[in-house]
This record gives sequence, C-alpha cells and structure tokens, in this order.
Amino acid sequence: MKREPVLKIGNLTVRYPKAKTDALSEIDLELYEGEFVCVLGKSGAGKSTLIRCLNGLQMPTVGHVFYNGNDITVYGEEQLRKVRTDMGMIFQHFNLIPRLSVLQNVLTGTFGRRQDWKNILGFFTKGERSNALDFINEVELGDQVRKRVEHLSGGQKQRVAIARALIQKPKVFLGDEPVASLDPGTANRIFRILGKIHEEHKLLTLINVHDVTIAKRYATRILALKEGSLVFDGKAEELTDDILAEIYDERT
Amino acid sequence: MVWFKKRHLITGFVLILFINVSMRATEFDLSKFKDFRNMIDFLSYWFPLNTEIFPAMIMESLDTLAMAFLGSLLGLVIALPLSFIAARNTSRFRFFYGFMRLGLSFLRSVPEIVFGLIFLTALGLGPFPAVLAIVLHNVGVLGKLISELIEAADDGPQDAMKSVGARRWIGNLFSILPQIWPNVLSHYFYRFEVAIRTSLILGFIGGGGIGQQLFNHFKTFQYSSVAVDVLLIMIMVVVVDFVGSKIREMVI
Ligand SMILES: Nc1ncnc2c1ncn2[C@@H]1O[C@H](COP(=O)(O)OP(=O)(O)OP(=O)(O)O)[C@@H](O)[C@H]1O
Ligand SMILES: [Mg+2]
Repeated sequence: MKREPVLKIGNLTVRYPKAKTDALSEIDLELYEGEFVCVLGKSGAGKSTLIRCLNGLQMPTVGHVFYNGNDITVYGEEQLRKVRTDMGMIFQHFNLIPRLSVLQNVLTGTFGRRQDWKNILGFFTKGERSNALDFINEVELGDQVRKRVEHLSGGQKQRVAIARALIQKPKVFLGDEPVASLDPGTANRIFRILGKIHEEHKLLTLINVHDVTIAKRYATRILALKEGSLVFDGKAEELTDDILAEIYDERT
Repeated sequence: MVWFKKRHLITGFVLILFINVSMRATEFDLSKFKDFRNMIDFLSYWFPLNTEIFPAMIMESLDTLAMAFLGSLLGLVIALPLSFIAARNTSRFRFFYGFMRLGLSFLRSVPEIVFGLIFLTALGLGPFPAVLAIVLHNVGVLGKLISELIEAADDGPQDAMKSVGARRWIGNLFSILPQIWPNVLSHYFYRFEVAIRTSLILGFIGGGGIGQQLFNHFKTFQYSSVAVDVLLIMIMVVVVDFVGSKIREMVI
C-alpha cells in the first residue's frame, strides 16, 4: 500500500510584493509521516518562506499546499486555524509572550482548540495544566515553571517554545532556524530534545538549519534550497562536499 | 570656523527673522519689568494664606482629580480597542483603518476647551460635561499613540499565536498587549497629568473643581485664597507624577 504524504507541495512559487525575483520558484515536494527533514540553504535562499507556506503563515503566489490531501491555499481563516492547531512551530527568536510565565506561555499553545472567553479569562482545566507541566518536564524545565520568560536564557526560551508547540499535540513540527541564535552546545541540546520528541511521537518534523553537521546527524532526509529553487533532496549520506560547495557557493 | 557652513548662516538669519516677527506679534517687551515692584506688591497680597478654606478647597481639588482621572481612564478604555483598528498591522480592512485614523485625528484636532464649551452649554454647568470633553480628546490622543505602539510591536509573538491556531483578535491581544503595556501606562499617566491641567481650565468656564474656585477667587480679588488654590494644584500635580512613576516602575 502506498503511503499518502502528510504535506504535499505543488508548483509552489512565492514572490513578495515589490520583489524583482521569486523567493521560491516552482517547488514540488512530498513530505511523509515520521520523516525528520532538515532544510539547508544560504541566507535568503527561501528556507523561511518555504516553512511559512506549510502552515499558511505565508500564502503562495502560485501553486498549492496540500495537508492530508486538502488544498489549504484555498482555505478561509477558520479552516486555516484548524490546520494550524495540527502544526507546532518554533522560531529563531523564540517568539514567546513577554510578561507571562513559562507555564502561562505553554498554555497559550492550546488557544486554537479552546473557547475564546476561556482563553481571555485564563480558565484552564486540571487536565490542561497537568498536560502543560508534563511537557515542561519533557523539555527539562520543571524547576522554572513560574518564572517569567524574559528572565530565561536563549536555550531555555527555545525549550519553552517547544513545549508550547507540543501541547498542541501536533501532527507536524516546524522549526524556522530554531538554533541560529544559540551557542553550539545549546544548539545540540535543543536538537537532542527535538530528536527525542521525534522518536516518541513519530511526527513529521521539518526544520531549517545553518549547521550541516547537525542536519546530517539528525535528519532522515535533507533538502537544500538555492535562490528559491530546490537543488538537493536526499539522505544525509548523499550530501557530498561538492553538493555542499554548490549550495553555499564555496570554491575550493 | 570649521564647524560652520554657509547653510548655517542662512538658517541663523531665518531664525532671527522669525524671532523678531514673533516678538512684535506678542508685544514682547522686557522694559515692562521696570515696574517690577508692582509684581512684588501684588504677590504680597497672597500672604498670609487663607487657611480657613483649606478643607473645602481640598474637597474641590479631589473633584478636579476625579474629573481628570475619570476622563483620562475612560479615554484609555475606549482608545485601547479602537487603536487595534487604527493600526496598520492589526486592522482587518483598509476601509476601517482609514476611517478610524480619520476619526481619531478629528477628535485630536478639537481642543478640550471647545468640547467643554459645547457640552457645558448643552448639558449645563458642572464636572460631568468637563469629564466628557476630556474623554473625547483623550480617545483621539491615546488612540493615535497606542496604535503607533501596536505598529512598532515585534511581530514574532504574533506569528507564534497565529501558528498555534488562535483566533486573530485573541492572538493580537496576547502577542501585542504585553509588549506595549509599560508604554501604554506611561502615556496614560502623562495624559492624566495633562488632564489635571485641562480640568483646571474647564473649571474656569464652569466645569467645577479647584479650577473654578481659583477663577472665582481671582476675579473677586481674594488673593490669599488664590494662594491656597495654587498651592493645592502644585501638590496635586507633583503627587500624581510621583505615583505614576512608581506604578510604572512596578509594571516594568
Ligand atoms: N516579508 C518579506 N517581504 C519582502 N521580501 C521578503 C520577505 N521575507 C523574505 N523576503 C525575501 O525573500 C527571499 C527569501 O527569504 P527567506 O526569509 O525565505 O530566506 P531564508 O532562507 O529564510 O534566509 P535566512 O537564512 O536569512 O533566514 C529573500 O530574498 C528575502 O529578502
Ligand atoms: Mg529565514
């Protein structure tokens, strides 16, 4: 039996207003459950744009994005919201809610599935709270639950963001350069956690990285973008130095 | 003369011209101070203070304080939601956005004293019309200031709230309000302080409070009472300024 892709991209092209060239051009791609995909590419290659198209933060100029076979580019706001609750996302600058604690930030991850008035007033069930605490423990922040997120280190902030994504019980996990502003040791720790989560939950994981070694270590599949085009799609072993030099424009 | 260029000479000339014209228009004339003794004589009527009226004037001051507080706070409460419509990044439709901007700038362009004259005529004398005048002008001012804070807010947390699938307005509220809150408060306290001065002026035209007392005492030559009024006003402004900065410190 042929597996159906969780996400399928057809002829995806994005051109930002006033830009002279496409940020992404004619990308075709199928992404399957259980894959750990790392996306490589120079700055400006279109990595963020690609990932933001997958959960509708960015709408394509041309082309389609299918989630479980449904074209989300024709979705209205409400349907898009449903899709997004299925996809956890983390970011380079963590994007936590300032002035709120670790626990409160993680609880905001449930906002997509709850009633508005409960969100506004901050009514959470015992179950939701203990869920949040479980995920906070899973990212090894059990001792920082009540701390305001401004007072955390970069690595800790990213772990809060991971817990916020996990409480969504996502089917897809997206990361837009989640370790780009962290030191190598912290970056490795974050990826160890992401790897562990991937093992446990078998999510489709798709993450942009700068660090090729990290990509090779964790990814089951590597994609590379260059000037908006997909120039590599394969396993870590197939990513040779020549191809890397081509991606990053390095001459030897 | 390395610091100076011909351009500066022209600027200097134009500036002197403007100062000259303005002095003529305002009949600026330092020689009038040769009768400085009159001023000292006049001020000597202010003392000793008319201590008898202290209790009554304190009550009047509290009225003024109440007017300023209510006027500026209601202004804030109304301006806050409107400013989300008047900010480019959170406004849903261009039409509402333009409309709201226009409305706010209209409210701002009408001075409180004009609103005051209208309401005092329409609703009768007293503090209530004065409060309304302060509310309207403050909706205009705070609406503009807050909408600019919203436009300058970091859009990272907004992306995060979108990607957990939160409804748009909830996402905006949670991602933007905590970021701008300290600045909103400092704008508010500044407007509160301004509103105290405004309610004094509105008192002159029949809005009640210590302003009206000051005006009456002045017109009836009761200078030892005028001195009490002025003293109370100064104390009030200093106290509000102090309390405002303490609260702001606590919030940050
Ligand atoms: N909001 C935007 N408006 C206009 N142009 C944009 C916008 N976002 C990205 N671009 C342009 O689109 C191209 C691709 O950008 P993108 O952010 O996807 O690259 P990236 O691979 O994520 O780069 P980086 O590694 O620096 O994050 C770049 O040329 C960029 O300048
Ligand atoms: Mg990027």
